[in-house]
Amino acid sequence: MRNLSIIFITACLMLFIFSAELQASNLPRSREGTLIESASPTEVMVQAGGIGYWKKGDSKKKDIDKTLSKTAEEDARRAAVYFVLFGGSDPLLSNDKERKAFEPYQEAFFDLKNITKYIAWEGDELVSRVKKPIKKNKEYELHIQKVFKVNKQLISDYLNGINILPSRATLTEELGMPMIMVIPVVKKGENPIDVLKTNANLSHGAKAIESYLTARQYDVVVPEQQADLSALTSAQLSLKDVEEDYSYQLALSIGSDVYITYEVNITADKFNTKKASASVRAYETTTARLLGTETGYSPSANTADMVLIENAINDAIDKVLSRIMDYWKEDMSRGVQYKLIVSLSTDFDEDQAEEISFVFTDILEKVTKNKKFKENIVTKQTLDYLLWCDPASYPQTTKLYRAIKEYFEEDYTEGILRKVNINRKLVLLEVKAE
Amino acid sequence: MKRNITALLVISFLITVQNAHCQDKYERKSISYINALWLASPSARKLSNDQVSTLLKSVKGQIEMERFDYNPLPQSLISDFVKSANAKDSLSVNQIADLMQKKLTPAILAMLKEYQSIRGEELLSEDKKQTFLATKAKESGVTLEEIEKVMNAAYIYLPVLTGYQKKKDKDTGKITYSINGGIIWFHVSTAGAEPKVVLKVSNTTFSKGYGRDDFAWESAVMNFARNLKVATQDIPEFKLAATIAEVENGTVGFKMGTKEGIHVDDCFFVGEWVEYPGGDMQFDRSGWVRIGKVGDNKNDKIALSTAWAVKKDNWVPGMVVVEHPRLGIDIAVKPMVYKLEVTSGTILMLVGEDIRIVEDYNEYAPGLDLDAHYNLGALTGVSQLFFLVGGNFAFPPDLQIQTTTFTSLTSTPPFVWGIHAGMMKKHYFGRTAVSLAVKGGIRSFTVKQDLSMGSTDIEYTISNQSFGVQFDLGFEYAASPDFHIGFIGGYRLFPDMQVWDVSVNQSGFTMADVDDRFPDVNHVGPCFGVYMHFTPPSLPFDPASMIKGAMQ
Repeated sequence: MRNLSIIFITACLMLFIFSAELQASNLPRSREGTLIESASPTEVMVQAGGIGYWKKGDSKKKDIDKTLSKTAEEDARRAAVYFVLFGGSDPLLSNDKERKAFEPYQEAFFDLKNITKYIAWEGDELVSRVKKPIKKNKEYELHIQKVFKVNKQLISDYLNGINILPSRATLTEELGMPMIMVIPVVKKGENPIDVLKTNANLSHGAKAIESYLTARQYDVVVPEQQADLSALTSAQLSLKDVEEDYSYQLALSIGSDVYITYEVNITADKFNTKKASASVRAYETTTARLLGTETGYSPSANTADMVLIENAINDAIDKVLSRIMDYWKEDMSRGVQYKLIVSLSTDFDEDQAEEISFVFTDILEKVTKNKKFKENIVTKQTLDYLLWCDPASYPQTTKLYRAIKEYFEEDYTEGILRKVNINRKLVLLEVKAE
Repeated sequence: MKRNITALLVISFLITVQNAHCQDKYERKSISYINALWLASPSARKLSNDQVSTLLKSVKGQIEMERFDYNPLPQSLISDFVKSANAKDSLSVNQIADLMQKKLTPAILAMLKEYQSIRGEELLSEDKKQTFLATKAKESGVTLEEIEKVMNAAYIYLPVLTGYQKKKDKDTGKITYSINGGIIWFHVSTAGAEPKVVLKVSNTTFSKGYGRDDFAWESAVMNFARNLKVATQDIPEFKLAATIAEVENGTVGFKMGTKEGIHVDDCFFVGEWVEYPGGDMQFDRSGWVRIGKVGDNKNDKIALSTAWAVKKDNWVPGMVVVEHPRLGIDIAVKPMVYKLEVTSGTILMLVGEDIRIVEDYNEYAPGLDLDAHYNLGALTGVSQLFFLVGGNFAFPPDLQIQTTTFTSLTSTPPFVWGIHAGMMKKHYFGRTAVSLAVKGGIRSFTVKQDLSMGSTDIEYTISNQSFGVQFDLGFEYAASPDFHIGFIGGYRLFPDMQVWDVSVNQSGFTMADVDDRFPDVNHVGPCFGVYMHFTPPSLPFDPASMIKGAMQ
């Protein structure tokens, strides 16, 4: 009797475990998806595949095709959203940690009622439809391809809400959204600001990027006036191995977190059509490190150049933007990044200069978050550092400058520290002899 | 070329190449027309200029369907092409293609470039319209993909005549024209570096016309052109196809309509692509529909046409409808029995003893109606409304007659024939249909005598004429879109008119039965039988024209 009870309980348990296991997953059967284009700053057009399935017992035999079509369309909807989350070169969930964190939510997320929220538009015609008999009259699959417009922003907001992606509010609270400067690539010796005023295509490209970024609530700067770079240039020029890079200098002088350079080209294609290509590169301002580069293309068409440029820019910028955000999320954990350049007066001899550099090393250990800073270059006349500070301790650059100044005055008495130029990213200081 | 081109091996080329693949959606094609007829045999070269013009006009009228865009070629270019073609002693189909490539392609491509925006825009899918080009920039533009479709969708056709015969009937003086020929389609391909003209497909047909000279020629030509129209519609590239947008209560709706030139009652197969194990792709048909309402997509781009199912299945949106082009003429064979009353009496013969009917006859005579049903859906917009025209033949086998051996050897036993025309309305209930027809005409109870006196042939005919109407009620089953079988029952009202027509070698007179010597012939009463009707893709002649020609 006791044995029977054990067997009965075990059987019940196994039934319970396996019934849960056998429950159909909400994840799409098809994982096919192709990005057609970024339809707008918040939406993407995706061609997704869907696999419909019918096996004997699922429905009456006369309803095979209805069941197959219904399940295929549902699967395609799921696959379209799945693609935005996991597929392509720039998925929303870009690393294992995020994907792992999403796992507990995915069944509920891919519930059909939930998925339809993210579909902004669905094509009324199928791109393709092929039925596949697996076992005649017993098991069938239906493979379809359909075009969807998916609201990527809404999915992103959901992921923010469940703390898988850092929310804009979190970012804003801690670091703010990155400030991005947009500037065209120009030939050596040309001034990009002048080029922006005279080249309509580049100017339109800047507007397209600006429009795209502002729609996503980024702070965007398109420099329209000549910035005073003299101080920065002289400081930079003293660094022997730093080449003159106008965009970099401009970004530093403006204090953007990231700067984007771009170039556009329009080429003639067959049958009097034209095609635009746009190369977009994003750099970290403090180091000029390349964060991401993408080339976007417009379809060849017989429409206006401006339309093609906007299309090509949109194609590229969406991908670059996700790299910027990846960088920004990672950087956020380290603190706010600054570039510190200290120009030493020629009145100091080598020993004094060395002493000053030691003092700055000690100061930076105190002001940085987790003593995180990098020495780029230390010469007799210039000290160049990259530092990460706690935004809670130094919400403004002035506060950071003030702290550095106070520590310097405490530790070194033979010289006076003054600011030359400070902004969101750059702290340009000089030390003069007492 | 119009008159003089000689050709080699044309017939060997005139093999229709049918692509087994159907397309999911028809995309408009641009066609150019060479106003010249390739006379490809010695008999064809006997055609007069007027006949060539009539034939070209008819072919052009039928082939220029709404599903095509037209690229009219300048006459100067055509003349140049014709002159170059005529300068050669003989030309093969491929040589013609090469000549087209040199002489006509640049003009066709220039014209396509001119129209590429308009035509390309029509090809833009809803998906494309939803993309950035249309939504953000608010300026649709046409992409290279659509332009390439336009540029690659150009075809040139060349009518060809391979056989021609004119025969005159000695007795009636009427003419029979027989013509063989077809259309050769060339494709202007811009896929490669250089545009190339390649032979696509050839369609051939045969046609006859009968009657007075002009009427017979026009009838043969019209039938020839109509056959070619259906053959053209049947070319896979030109076949209309669309995906089903909606399914509701046995009707399907799809995006196609007046712009593609579809009509009420046009037949479409419904099916889907199936990939079988091993990777074989096949278009599986699961039924067919007929157009019930034609969407006006010339004025409303999203208008849908709806079609009602004949052979129904569990269709869903996304499946495909593919045109099944036919002439719109059904040939119906109706073996029946007809109530016939013939009283005893004498039928006068020209030579020998008269025929005496010794006993009253009141029975069902076996025979058949042979009808052509012309679908009037395209003209009237009324579904399943037909004009019918045809003939009747019956033979009363048990008629008790008494005559001499000479008469029986030179004359036929009494038989009934007739011609009629009328209207028919059909209503489908799935694959079964009920039809109601009314047709009026004549029934003729006839005896014919043929003999020779010396060197003179004599044809003597005596017949009792009756005018009246016949009502038919049919119940049929659609075994396929092209073959129906059913039962028919009807009532005939062809009363005895006591009038006999006599003719000797086409000269005749009418005599009334004043002394009641002749038998009374009464065709009033029921008739019933079975019937089959066929919907052929082509006919060797137009039945209505043939009857009209015979009556002229």
